[in-house]
Amino acid sequence: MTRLKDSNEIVAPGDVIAEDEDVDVDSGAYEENTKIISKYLGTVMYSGNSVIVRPMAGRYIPEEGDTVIGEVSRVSYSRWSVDLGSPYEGNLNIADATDEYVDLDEDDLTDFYDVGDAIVVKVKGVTKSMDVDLTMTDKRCKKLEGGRIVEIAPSKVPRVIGKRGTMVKQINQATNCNIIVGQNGRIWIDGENSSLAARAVKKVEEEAHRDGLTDEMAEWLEEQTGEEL
Amino acid sequence: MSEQNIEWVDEEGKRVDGREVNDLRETSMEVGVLDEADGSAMVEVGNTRVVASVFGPQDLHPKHLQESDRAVIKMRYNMAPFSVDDRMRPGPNRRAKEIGLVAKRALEPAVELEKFPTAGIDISMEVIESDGGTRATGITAASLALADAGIPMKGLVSSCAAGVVGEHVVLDVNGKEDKEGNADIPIATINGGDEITLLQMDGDLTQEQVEDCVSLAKEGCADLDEQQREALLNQYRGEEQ
Repeated sequence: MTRLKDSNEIVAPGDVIAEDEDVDVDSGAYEENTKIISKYLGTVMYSGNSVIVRPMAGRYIPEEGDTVIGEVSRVSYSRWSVDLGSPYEGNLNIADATDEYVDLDEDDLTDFYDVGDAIVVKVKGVTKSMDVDLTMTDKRCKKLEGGRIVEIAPSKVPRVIGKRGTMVKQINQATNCNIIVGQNGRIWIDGENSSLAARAVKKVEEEAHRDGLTDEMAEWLEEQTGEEL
Repeated sequence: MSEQNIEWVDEEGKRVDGREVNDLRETSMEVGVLDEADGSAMVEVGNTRVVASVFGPQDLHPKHLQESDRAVIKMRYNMAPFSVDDRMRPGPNRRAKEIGLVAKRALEPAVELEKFPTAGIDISMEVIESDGGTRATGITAASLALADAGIPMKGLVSSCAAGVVGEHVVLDVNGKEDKEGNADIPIATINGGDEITLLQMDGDLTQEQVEDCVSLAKEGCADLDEQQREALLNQYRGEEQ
């Protein structure tokens, strides 16, 4: 493969990234006459014989298996509609929400989740026409009480998590906050020092396209807290 | 002043505003000019200035406009009342609707709409100042705003016009050349290449002149395409210094 762009280099839509016969194009790029061309304004990432472009911005598009933070937007007879910060609304059916027996005519669904509640929820499946089914059966799923939610570009979530969770762990250690990162770019932070944690998350988002960010953030956090990590 | 009296290109080969026949006007582009929009850009070509914004992909209403297998682009072209020399009556008119439609068709082939079934993408092009070539400038700006919004695209769309004034084929006609010249042809291309997504013609000209205009405008689009890429990357370069 002839690499025309370096790893982590920023490319615009239509930029030629590499030239070769057999390169796997994962996402964010397409192939035309043995040229690999970017679809996004984003950063290039090579791994083995494949190329991806990670976009700088964009709305969250639900995918099966994602854990996301949603806001209940409507309570219906037997299900909740959940806003995911995406063009597509999620549906949480009662059977996926609780193991308890619920008498639909007697019980009030708002006792479980009411409009405006923030919940950690898992994407159970997405149909071709983008109907999104959600489930609460995963052990990480719960209703969020207290704390605050920070929103970032969904494409930058991997940077906030870091390699094997190093970045979140670091912010968590420095600020002593509970942090839950949703794949849809919503991040829940709870703790006394939540302002600092929120600023740290925003800083990671802004500088997501740079190298060596975890070390840089470690320094920044030490500076802010005045304590060694 | 009648058409015959204007010396469109003087002995030194300079046009009414001092450009050569194959020069673009001075162009500047800035991406991310609006905070609230998902994507935005401002493009200035000479005295023409357009701000484009993109919202979405998002829920599309009314529902009957939705397409089950792709996203739908809603395009708005609007001229500010103060954008022309005599105050313009605000609000949509026939011309604005037509330009919105052709601009939408010029961008659609470049955008990967299949990725967002049933969703809508709202694009708006606001003309702040007008001195010829507003539709072309609008398309150039809208394409930058789409890229800024993180919408997958085959490539950037750039657009500019070429026209005939007097006997001369010139690139990027300005307001005066547009109004009093013989004809102009705005075109748009993907990635500054051979794929043309917009071609309109206004005025009388020979077959040969059409061919000359199109090839000249293509060169202009390729030039703009490079400037677009530069503008997109500039957003992030500033921080690294």
